[in-house]
Amino acid sequence: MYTLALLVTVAYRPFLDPLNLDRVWFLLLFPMAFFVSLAYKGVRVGEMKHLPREVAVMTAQIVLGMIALGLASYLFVQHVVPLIAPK
Amino acid sequence: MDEPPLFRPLGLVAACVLPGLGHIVNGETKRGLCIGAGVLGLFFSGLLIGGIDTIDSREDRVWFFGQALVGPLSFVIDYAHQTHFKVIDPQTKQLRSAYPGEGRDPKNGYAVTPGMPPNIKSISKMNELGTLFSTVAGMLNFIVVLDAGFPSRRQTGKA
Repeated sequence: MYTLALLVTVAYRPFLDPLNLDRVWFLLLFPMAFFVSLAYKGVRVGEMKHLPREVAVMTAQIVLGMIALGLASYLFVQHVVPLIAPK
Repeated sequence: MDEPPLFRPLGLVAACVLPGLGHIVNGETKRGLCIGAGVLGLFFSGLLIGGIDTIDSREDRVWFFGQALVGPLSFVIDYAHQTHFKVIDPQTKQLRSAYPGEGRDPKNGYAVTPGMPPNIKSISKMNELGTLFSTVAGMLNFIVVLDAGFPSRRQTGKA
């Protein structure tokens, strides 16, 4: 029984079992931003020769935007909320 | 400069079948391939991150509405998930994911113990992110389908 449980834990099957990325989940922002940019700019861009640059710019915009939002949330919760919360 | 036709029914149908195919049918092969890579890359990334459990029309119905916009692919994966990976609970007779240490009887689909689960149910962030990836893919594909069926004049130069 123990061997079976161990086998289930060890034998990862791609696309069937979830990835064990709970500690680095935030890094998944990069592939998400890239694929969203690729599909969206594929529709929007006028000439396809501009696509790689447009995708790179939009990916960077999404990633930096999310970092800025995270930072703003951190500052609000850590520094603004203590000022307005009743003591 | 020639105006593009207002409605391309063949492109619309093809885009509903497979992401990017509508643009390929409309004669924009490179654009269709890039769009397909974007939408399908997002969809299969979601599947890779959260496993097949992220496509579930029974347990995550609202999310499946978004995932269904990817096209028949979502329905095929959901069908496979429901019929080949879920088990029938011996007591309630309802479909559910197999518990750890529980297998699936291939003859009748009932849960058997001990056994190897057909798939491991994803939980927490991996399930949330996998579901999000595949749902965003569906929502993006909705834009792609509209663009293939009702082509707009594209911006020249920078998009």
